[in-house]
Amino acid sequence: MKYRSRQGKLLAILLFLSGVVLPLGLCLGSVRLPLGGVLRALLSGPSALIETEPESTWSTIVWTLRFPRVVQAFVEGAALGIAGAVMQGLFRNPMADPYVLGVSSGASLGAVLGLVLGVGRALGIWGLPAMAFSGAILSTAFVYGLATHRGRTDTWTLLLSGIAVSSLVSSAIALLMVLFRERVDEIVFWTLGGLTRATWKSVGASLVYTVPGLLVLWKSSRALDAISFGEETAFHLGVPVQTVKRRLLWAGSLVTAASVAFTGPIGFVGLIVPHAVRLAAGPRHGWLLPLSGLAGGNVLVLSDLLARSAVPPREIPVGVVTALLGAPFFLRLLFRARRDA
Amino acid sequence: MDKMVLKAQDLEFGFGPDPVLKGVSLEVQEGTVCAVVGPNGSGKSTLLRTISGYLTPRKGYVEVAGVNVHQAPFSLRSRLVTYCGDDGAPSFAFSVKETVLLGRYAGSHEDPSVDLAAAEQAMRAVDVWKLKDRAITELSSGERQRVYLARAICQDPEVFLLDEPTAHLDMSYEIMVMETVGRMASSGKTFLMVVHDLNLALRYASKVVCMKNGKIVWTAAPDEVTAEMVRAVYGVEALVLKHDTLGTPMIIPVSRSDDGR
Repeated sequence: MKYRSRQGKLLAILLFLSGVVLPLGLCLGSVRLPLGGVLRALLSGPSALIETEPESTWSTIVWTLRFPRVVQAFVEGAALGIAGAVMQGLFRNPMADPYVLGVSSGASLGAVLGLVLGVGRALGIWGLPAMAFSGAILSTAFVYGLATHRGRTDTWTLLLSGIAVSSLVSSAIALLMVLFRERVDEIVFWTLGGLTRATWKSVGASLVYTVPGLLVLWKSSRALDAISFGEETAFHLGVPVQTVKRRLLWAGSLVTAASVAFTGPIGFVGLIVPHAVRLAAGPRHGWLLPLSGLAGGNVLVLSDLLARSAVPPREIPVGVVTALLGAPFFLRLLFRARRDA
Repeated sequence: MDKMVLKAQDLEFGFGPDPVLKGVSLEVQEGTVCAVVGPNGSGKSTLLRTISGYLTPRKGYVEVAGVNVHQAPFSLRSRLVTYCGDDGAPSFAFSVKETVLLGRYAGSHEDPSVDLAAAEQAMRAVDVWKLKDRAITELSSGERQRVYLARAICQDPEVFLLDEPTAHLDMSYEIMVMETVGRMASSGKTFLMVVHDLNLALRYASKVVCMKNGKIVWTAAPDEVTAEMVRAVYGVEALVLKHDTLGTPMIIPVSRSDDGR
């Protein structure tokens, strides 16, 4: 098994895929645009004055609707893929991801509370994200605190408390739906996730949090390799395990919260993508994280494409699409793992 | 010459209220191999994991080359001492080479070819170079044990704490690993290792430390070990002979003694 060539090959495939998927995301949708027209609109810039129809409409569709949406999908998909890869390595468990650990549901609850309490409107575009961050950080701190005893965190306790907190939070959101019937439609967004709200502003706001978070995660990739062999082994190799772990949990929560804040909770990307990339290119995090990012970006852009063009003119929440695609794939992986065992 | 590179003083450690280590003091001379023997549950692994810095003692301290390991910065400590035991089943399919290279985590060189050369040398020393591109999840426990040993060698600390380094090895690799240990010791590295096989301890170590119930009950040079000392610790009647050609002492267990342990 030669990993180096496999990693290079996967990188080439994913870059090629991005080259196909991103333009596809601009062309397809409720209105189908020709590739040439999309390219002309892109080249002439967002504020170009175009007198002729339909070029003028195309330019508007591309620049104000589809382009930010595609970029946001790519960014959040990448963030989810990387956060999932980090959580799996950190807990040496391919079942771990930000959803299982309760980070995403905490962010959702924060956003829903912001919505029903009116905080969102008071703070503008930063309101709901801020609430989502608070929710994510609080639930992470809570789950982490439950599982930490005398400065050491037990992996299994952490996973179990994550699952418990997740379901607690889900019921809290359900309760809020009942109490605030009139806002049900908005609250549903925070339980399913979607990219309908993407604007250039939300892309920018998300990047402000995502980029530093991802850099922190990527910088820890060698420590993650060591931690994959167990925390005690990593300790003997000279990794300051507890410090690295805390850093990864905070940065992972930040990145997850940013994604939930702008697109709602989207499941399975963080679980499946790193799993598949690891099978294809090996477990070294220096490669696994960027490759999972690229793959996650592509997966979410494609899922969103399906979400908005499968049953026109209706749009399916993208979280439903990723679950429909992800769950069977996940089961297949499980079956294969059981057969190999 | 008689430099004590490892010094443990009055170590007391416990996971719960009952101490596992009840005041253990120990010194190991630089460039020697010291074996720790004793019945199951006597605290041998706990002693090694406390000396490594991983477990924090309630009382006492450990010094390696004059540095208190429980207060040393992570990277300094990992260049002074490492512990190599059983990692358990690996979770992810790292290649053998990637696994061994992790030994350079704290001490990686600016020039990666230096690290690669160190890793290659370590892999050849325990004969896993031929496995270098295999995934560790596919290896047998004996092969994996040698890979983890290679990782420790690649880490290149002053003191090696080996927890049953030959537990999964066949006869031939047992000799190979012990000879590698001996060679490294004569070039100045120091070894403290838990060994179950008394004969292995007597043949390759220059000092044998015997533990029971969290205490050191005797310390002896190999040719000082008597049938009496074996009976006192294990409750086993044994013959202590001298090997005709090797000249090393040899222990043959005969039966459990009547008074048990």
